[in-house]
Amino acid sequence: MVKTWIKRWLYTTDHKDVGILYFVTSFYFGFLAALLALFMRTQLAVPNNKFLGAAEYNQAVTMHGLLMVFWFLSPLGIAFANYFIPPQIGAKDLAFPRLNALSYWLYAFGGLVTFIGFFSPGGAANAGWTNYSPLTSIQFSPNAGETLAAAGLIIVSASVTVGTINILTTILFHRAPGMTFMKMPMFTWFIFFTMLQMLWSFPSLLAGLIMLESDRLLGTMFFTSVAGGSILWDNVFWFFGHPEVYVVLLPAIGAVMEIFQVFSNRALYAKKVAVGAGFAIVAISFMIYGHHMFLTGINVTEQEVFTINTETVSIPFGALMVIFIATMYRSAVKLATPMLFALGSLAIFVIGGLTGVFNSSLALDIAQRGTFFVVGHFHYVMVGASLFGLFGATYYWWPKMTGKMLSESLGKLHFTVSIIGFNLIFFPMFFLMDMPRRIVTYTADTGWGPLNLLASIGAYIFIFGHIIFLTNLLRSYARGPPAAPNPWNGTTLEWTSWKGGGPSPIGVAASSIGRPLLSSLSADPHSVRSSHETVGSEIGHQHWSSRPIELSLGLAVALAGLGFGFPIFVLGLVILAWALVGWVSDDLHDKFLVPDEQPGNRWPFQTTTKLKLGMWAFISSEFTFFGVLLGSYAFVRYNFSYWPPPGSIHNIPIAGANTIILLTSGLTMLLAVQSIKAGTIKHVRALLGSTLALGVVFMIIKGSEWYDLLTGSPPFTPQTGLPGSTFFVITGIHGAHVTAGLVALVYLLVRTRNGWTPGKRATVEHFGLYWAFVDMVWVFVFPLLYLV
Amino acid sequence: MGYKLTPLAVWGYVVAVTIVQMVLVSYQSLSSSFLNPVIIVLAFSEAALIVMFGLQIWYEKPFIILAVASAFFTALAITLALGSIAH
Repeated sequence: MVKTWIKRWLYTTDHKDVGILYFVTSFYFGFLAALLALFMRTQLAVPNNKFLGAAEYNQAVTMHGLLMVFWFLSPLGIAFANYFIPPQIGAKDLAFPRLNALSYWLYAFGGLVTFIGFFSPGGAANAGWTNYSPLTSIQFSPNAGETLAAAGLIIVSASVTVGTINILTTILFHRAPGMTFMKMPMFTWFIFFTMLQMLWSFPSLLAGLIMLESDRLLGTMFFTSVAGGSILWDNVFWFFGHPEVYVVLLPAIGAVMEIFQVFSNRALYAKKVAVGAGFAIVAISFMIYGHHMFLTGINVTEQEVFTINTETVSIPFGALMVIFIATMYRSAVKLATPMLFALGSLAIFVIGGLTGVFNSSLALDIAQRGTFFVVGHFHYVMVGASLFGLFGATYYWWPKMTGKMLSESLGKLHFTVSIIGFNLIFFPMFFLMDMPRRIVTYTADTGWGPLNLLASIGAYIFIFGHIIFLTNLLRSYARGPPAAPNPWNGTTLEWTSWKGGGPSPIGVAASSIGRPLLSSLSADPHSVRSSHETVGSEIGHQHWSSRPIELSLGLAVALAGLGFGFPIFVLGLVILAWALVGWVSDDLHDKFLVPDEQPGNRWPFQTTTKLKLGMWAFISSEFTFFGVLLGSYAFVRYNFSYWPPPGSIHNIPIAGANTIILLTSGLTMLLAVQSIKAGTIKHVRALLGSTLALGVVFMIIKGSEWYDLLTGSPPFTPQTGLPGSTFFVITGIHGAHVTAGLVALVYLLVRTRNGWTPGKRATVEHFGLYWAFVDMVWVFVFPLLYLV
Repeated sequence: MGYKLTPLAVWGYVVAVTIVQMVLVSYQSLSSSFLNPVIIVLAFSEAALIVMFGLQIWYEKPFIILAVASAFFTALAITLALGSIAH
């Protein structure tokens, strides 16, 4: 029994189970982050305090930020997305259940790799969650903790990429018949927006982290040279970092929208405007990051553009605030705990948003940059608005997740203590606009003591609020009163399935507020309900796979080896290879089968397959990834006074011939795909074999070119300057993509040795997309690195 | 047979452009301020063909949404980074 229970939680791929895993794990990391925050506030409570030393304080600040942003706030939203997106759109599960589990385990192990830095020589990462260059260079941060933090972030970036593809494909492909875009619940909409932001922002972080690790471990010079340096890192990091603020915020806003509707007994006012605002936020969020760089000496015109863009983003957010208020206007608002937290989130966001407008001003920003005013601002937005919204979501959906009610009185006490504690911590910071961030202590004559003491008292009160919250959860789980099927009269599809027993009365839910979402669906809602109730319990062990945890463990151990040494790295690679072979073997023997969904509402992707859509989403993120790498090359090239002329280092005829070999492999792959489309599979295996052979020849020539460069006289290495750094990292990453493609080709050839099925033909088509992308990247790499 | 013509035509174009790029670089008399933009534009034309036929947008039009959005955000990242250079 216990063994089965453990296996379930290690091997599950069911979206509800994975959602619960995300929920519990994110609170675990949140607890660690809160503990570090408490240490910091204790240190800053009084002047000249020696509770923490400078080194410990820097580690606490850095790890608090990393854990909060990457392992608590954002994943908590993903927990609810995992659990509730499929039922909200009438799907059985997420599009790719095993990838969903993989995404979770990568996230969990990534957190451990980062946190384990505390136990490494030199301690944990200490350069701030922004990893600013040159603080993160090996010169200023020689500790393994910094390497481990970057490794953990690489793993979590992989997790996000996989998770994003999965949730996007689910929303685009698995909506029930009748679930058009405009009928989607607002939580699903705002998760959709979050996924779009993640899809294009995290590749920038991943590219930056790979360059950072390359600087630290291989001696390249992306962020240690004058031509690249801190400005290059700022660009790469904040292109991810500012959208990340909204990545953390938007799931909470989506949940708050659901709560406002249900507890105001009203449909959302101007839903189309709210959706439009969401799209506007996604687009604008990528154009405003420069306000984090006003003091770095960037181009003045661009500073003005960033100022205007930053102020512009307040328009869609302002529209959302008006929509929230209009939804509640003259309605019978029911002040239950979820609604209190939603209102708290709204109030806190208004304060955070207004102070953000101050920061967008070029003149004010220069005065406030690097002070506690900014700390107050971003905690109001990222922590307050998000956390209160997600607490509201927890109180709202807990009965659905557990079948039990939380105590309203404890919930209201939690809200009261939290809102007092939160404002006590962060509101005084708006008056500490002359106190620099990240200082370990201060003297009494600065006058900062009383406000800091107030903030520290607030921190203890805030933590006390969370103890009440935890008590409420545990008490409810152990002996809470059973929840009614739809305790809040929710109107979205997830309330039509009921963990605690019989089906919920969906008609009541739909008609009670005059927004008959369910009855407006063309499908029989009972069939929708029954479809997603089969998940987990009835499919059972078919939904189990050990491969996601094995694969994640292998990657985590391998990347932890970057900090702990070569043997650990090799051990990780062995586990990784073993897991990959196991995964492929499972596929070849059809050991993991999940029944396909019935066709639903797939506009505008009616004619494609979900795997193709998933592959395209992956390629979409890869566009940004390689774009950032090549953009970084262009950046340092433009900033660097001397660059070797074409032909002085590289052998252009050989590189050109190699390019033609790769392009020819693209031809054979495309012929294979076209043959399958035309229904003539006679020569497809031969074409795949040709692609494999040409790819291998490309890699052999590339290896030989590397060898000649590294051993030449004088040698051309990653350490010899920016031309070497950019050449080896970019061609190395492209080569890694080619190698992954070659492994996949071997798999395809093995899989098709006994004949063809529609599934196998489709796999060739999907792989063809990847190979074409690899070709496309090279048509930029070749001219940029060899010819110009 | 018709299904083979498009891949062959795409391949013929990208190979030809690769050769043209190499030939252009071999001319020492051409200035880099002229040559480099030409080479990059040619690379974009190759990439456009590969995206259209290799990435199947020509056959499955809805993917153009993802392609355009990806290209937009990628271009944005590069443009803003290069634009931030002060000199």
